[in-house]
Amino acid sequence: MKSAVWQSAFYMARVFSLRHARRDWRHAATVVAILALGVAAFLSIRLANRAAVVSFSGFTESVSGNSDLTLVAPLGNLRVDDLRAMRDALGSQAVHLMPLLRASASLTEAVKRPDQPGGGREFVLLGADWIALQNLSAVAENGQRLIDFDTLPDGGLWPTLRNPHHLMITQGMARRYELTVGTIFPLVVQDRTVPFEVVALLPRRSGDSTVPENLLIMDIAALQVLTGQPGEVSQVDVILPPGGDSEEQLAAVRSTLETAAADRWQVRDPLLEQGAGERMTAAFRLNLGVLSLISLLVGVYLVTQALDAAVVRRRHEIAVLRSLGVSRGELRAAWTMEIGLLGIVGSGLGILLGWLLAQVAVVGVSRTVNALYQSSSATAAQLTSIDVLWGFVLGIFFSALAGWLPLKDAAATPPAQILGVGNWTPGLRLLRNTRLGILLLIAGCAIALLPPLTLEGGGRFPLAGYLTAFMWLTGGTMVVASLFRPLAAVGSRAFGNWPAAAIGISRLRRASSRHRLAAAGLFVAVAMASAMAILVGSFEQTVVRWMDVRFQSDVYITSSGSQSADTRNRIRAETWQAIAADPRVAAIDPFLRLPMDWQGKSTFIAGADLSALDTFERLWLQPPPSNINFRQPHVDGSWPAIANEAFMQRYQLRLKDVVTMPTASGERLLRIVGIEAEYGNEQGQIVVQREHLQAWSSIDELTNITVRLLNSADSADFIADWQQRQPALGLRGNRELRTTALTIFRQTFAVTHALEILALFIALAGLALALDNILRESRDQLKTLRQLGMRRNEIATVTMVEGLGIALAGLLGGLLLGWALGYLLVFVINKQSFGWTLQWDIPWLRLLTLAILVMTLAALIAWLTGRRALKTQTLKTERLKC
Amino acid sequence: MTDLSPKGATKILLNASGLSKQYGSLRVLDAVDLKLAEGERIALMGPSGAGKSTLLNCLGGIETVDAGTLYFEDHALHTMDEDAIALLRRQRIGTVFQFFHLLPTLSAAENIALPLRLNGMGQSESRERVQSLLREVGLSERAHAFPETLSGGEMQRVAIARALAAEPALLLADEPTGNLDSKTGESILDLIENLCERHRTALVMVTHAEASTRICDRVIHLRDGRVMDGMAAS
Repeated sequence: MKSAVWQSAFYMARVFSLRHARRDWRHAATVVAILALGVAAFLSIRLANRAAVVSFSGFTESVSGNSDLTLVAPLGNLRVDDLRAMRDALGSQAVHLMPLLRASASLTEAVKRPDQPGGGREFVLLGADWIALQNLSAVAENGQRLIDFDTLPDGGLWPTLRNPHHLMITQGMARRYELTVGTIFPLVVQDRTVPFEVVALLPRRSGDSTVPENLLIMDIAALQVLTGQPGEVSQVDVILPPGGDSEEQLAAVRSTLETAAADRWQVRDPLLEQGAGERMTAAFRLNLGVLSLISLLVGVYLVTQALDAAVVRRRHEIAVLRSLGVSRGELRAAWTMEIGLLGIVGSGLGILLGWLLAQVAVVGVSRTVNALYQSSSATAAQLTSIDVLWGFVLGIFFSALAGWLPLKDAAATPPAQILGVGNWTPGLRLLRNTRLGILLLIAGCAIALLPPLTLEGGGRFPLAGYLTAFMWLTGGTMVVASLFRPLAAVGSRAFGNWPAAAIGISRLRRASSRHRLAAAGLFVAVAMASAMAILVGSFEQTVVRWMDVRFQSDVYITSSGSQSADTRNRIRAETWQAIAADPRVAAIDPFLRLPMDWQGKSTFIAGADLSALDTFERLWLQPPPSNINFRQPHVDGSWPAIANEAFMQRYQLRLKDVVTMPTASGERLLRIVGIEAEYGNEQGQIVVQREHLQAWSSIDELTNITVRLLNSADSADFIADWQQRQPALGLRGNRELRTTALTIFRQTFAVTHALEILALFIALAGLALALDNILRESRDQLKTLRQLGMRRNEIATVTMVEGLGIALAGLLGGLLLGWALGYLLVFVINKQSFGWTLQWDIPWLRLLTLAILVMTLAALIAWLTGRRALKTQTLKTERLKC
Repeated sequence: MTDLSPKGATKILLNASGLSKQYGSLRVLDAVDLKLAEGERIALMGPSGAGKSTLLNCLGGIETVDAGTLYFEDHALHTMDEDAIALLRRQRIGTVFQFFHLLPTLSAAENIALPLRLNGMGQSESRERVQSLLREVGLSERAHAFPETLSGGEMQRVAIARALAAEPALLLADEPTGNLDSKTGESILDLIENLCERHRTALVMVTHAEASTRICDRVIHLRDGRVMDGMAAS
């Protein structure tokens, strides 16, 4: 019986669906295009996310192979003494110790390519023991050597290796920047431009690892000399020889090293380290993924309306089939096939489009990952079979979701004997369930109070917030049509004497499911657009206020090579001390920021001149006591520190809490005496007096300097003067920095404007489709109105009033929900994701523009749809009854 | 109660007893009894709102009844679920409408083939049957024409061929000539009579025109949902 159902369904799908698709190819193409766009949006973000993350995971494992343990300093670098202590502790155990020094290198302004904005500008510069590397690669399973010594320049191996200007680059980088062995390639390291010579090309793969494109390798001793870090290493990789009882041996080695550590180093599992990038960015990627899913979900409304239109157009055909004995089950099966086919075609195109879009999106995602997390050089996104599967699953799922209501409606069509062509308003009963809608709205409010999910690595994902948004949007679509009656009552009072308006209003009073669907589509689009506008408006106001406080000084200085959040390109002590000694300088705020792992989560510890808070103001959520001395510890031995909001959220701390921070010179107690508003990253930051951090980390460099000049000094002259003396420094004046920051901010949120326009387009396209459906179902009424002597324009006015009513209901409901969603985004989702408190700001002018646009365009579209329907449908009535 | 049994019939095809149907407070059918023999042809007549079309829909299982029993062949329609009735209708009951209801996206031949294909008949087999039906309705030359290019009479011929394609035992016709001129209407009636005769198909036809009853064995008059009488057609 079941196979017979599918057999006849297959026949109907073949005869009817394909034929309709061929005859009305524009309609079919629209549905496929919407689905394809939705799948493409999701897939491009997925591919770009992965590419950006993959590109910064695994720098060291590609060099030293799969190490068994990694040893790092709690803060800053390890010393040669530590290396000796490790070796002594291990005694006669057969273990390789591979010291590595990590630095950063960036393209100089002259080399930056305009076609490579963002991605590929900062590289990881890794110092390693070349000979040890060669020995290790020789024992790797495939036996392929990492470096081909035969290609090294003449002059002997050691002079070549120990030259601090000699560099090995990846083949990908060589191709991108047209480099070969022997080419001189200038790069910014710390605050200087270094003319490197390429001496060898690294293979694409090393052992089991792909060599990241933005990896540069030098000899460790040469890099120590170059960066002024003699005897320092960033990490030591511990590699057990192959064979033997490695599990037991590893446990013994780990135990030995942990016992001998005494706070000087931390023992980490390299497998966990490899995934650190993924864990760190998990929340960011999840948020992006959810946003792309929401865009797909909004597209579902349009697909629903398009499929609903198909049901209306084919109602007569379905009714005849029912009369001929086609069961509801067979109809459902035939429609399922049609929807599935649309899903498959839409997904296929979406996957292709998504892959193309990913090549563009990867640059943007990579830029954000650079700014917020770690160096990323992704420039191309790869498509895997799993991605293709995801694309199809998603496309088919969403087409099924979109087709569900129209499918129910189609199956509910009565046989032709009952169907009075043109006056039958069926199904979509879900949209009439106001009680369920109200229940969802209330349940959403309750869920919003739940805490975020904490992901591995410390990221937080506001699952409850997104669930609330989904429930409000779904519930709202069921409730919004309740506005029809009051709007009709007001409209009757105001325009009741105008016949065309009175007819239009009367149709709203007895609104069909199609009216409801149209209002629901508009409602969702307006809610999304206005919520985004509120979020961006609030964010912008907050950032401007923050800049007003923070950017009051004259000059801001960084290394021009500082391109990512975890950059090692800092201003050397001799440079910043020279700037501080400049007679034109009244005061400087030296700032050092170091990444660290604390309690299993990545965060930042920073040093600043906290004793000069009056000169260099901060934006406080909880200001520290005015009499506090940041240079002195409290009586309990704790050092005063200020934390930003993200740090407090991430570690669930409160003001005056004391935290224990491991440093290279032992554990330090820090007491949080103030909380500042700061919007640099989501990982949080705790700030102590700069001298202390420099002492604890043995790093005398600075991340940036804020300079206040004497009144007599000219900032432009100062900048020009220092730029000439130190071309690799990035110097910006107050106004330039503000402009740049705001430009970056607006660029970051440009995508939200695109989303708003997309939402508006969806809403209006949905309105046109819905009105067309309504008129198709009312063509007998249209004919009657014509026979009663109404002119075309008058009938178009009826449609316009109807369209305006739908638009007004969608707009009012959408603005109300937009306000609620804006609140949710600002105070729940944003707060839980990033830990930032934003200033609530409603961009009234923008919302007013949105409202005027929606109503004007709705009136125009409704009018045109009415005119078009009159031209085509009333003439076709008789033919349709054939 | 008037005896509406077929005169001298051998086997009962349709047996309705006490059929009642109500829409809100309006009683559309009121305890209607009706028996129809195999191959018998009856006409349902009555003023507008008498319940003719509703009775026809109930007999075809399109609408459910509120009370009464309805047997078609060995099937108790009043107890069957909708899908089972749909399957029965597909195999054993054909319908002709006043407004033809051809599917505009299918050609004449495809429209006729539709019930056959739905019943699982293969393409080549159904092609032969369609050709034969087209010959019977005199439209062999118009097999590939689409409905929009056919005249009213031609469309109704195609509709009749489609209704009889699956060789149903019962043909339900709802004012089959109501939308045609009198000359075309006459020829359509002749066609229905001939085909029903040839295929031994029973007919229940709703009509307003007394003249149309000439092809029927009996005429049943309905008023306010009740059967007034049943008589042999003149």
